[in-house]
Amino acid sequence: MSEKNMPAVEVSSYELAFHVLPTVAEGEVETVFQNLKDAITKHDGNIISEEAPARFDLAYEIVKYLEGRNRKFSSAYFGWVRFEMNPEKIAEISEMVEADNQFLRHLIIKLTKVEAENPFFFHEALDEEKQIETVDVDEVLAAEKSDSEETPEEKNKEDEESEAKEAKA
Amino acid sequence: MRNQKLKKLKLNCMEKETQTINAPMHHVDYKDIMKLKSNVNPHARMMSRRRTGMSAKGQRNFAKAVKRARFMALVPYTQH
Repeated sequence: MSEKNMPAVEVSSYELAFHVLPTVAEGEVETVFQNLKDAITKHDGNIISEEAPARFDLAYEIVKYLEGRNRKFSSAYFGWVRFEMNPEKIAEISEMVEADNQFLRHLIIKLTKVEAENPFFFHEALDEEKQIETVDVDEVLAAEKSDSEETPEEKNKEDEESEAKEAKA
Repeated sequence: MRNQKLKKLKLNCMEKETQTINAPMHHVDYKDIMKLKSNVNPHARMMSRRRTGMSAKGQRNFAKAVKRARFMALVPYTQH
């Protein structure tokens, strides 16, 4: 069990989540994202999955020092990339994003095995959440009442149809 | 017709189950803000293990996820 016999860990998987400044035009966000991915592949990174940045209202205001003064931002384009990379090169990626003035904030996490197996798509989940409608309880109850009056006839019709089809088959 | 519908429903349920089975109970992603928000109080503080009912491992993962989400401004540090 000496170290020499152990397989050398060459790459580990990482997730880089970031906020692109809201001052960047909507159409240019894609190019910013593409440049970031290009930079990762240049550092011998292998991109596994990604979610393109989209507008998100931040939970609190983030202050960033830009053009000689502190500026507050309450919304940004949030996106993430998952990739495999040599652990020695990850610091370079972090420095690069830190130095880039188009990014408001970023977070690099080393993925555990469970995390790597279960990617979570942030904007998709938010959209699904929005699709769930809120309904007035009284209206639903009233609708159900009117439905229950109609249902016996409908059921009979459906039964007849299914019987007819079975008979044909 | 009805049997076919039932079969479809069953299949849908099974597909959904297999999707969720892949993720273990103790796993929470820091971007899953709905799951995180359901386990914090109105001041945005994390609930105790007694309230969340999570395993020790689950609570550790949850705490880590909340802290990551707070840093990325997906959930607030405090709310008043």
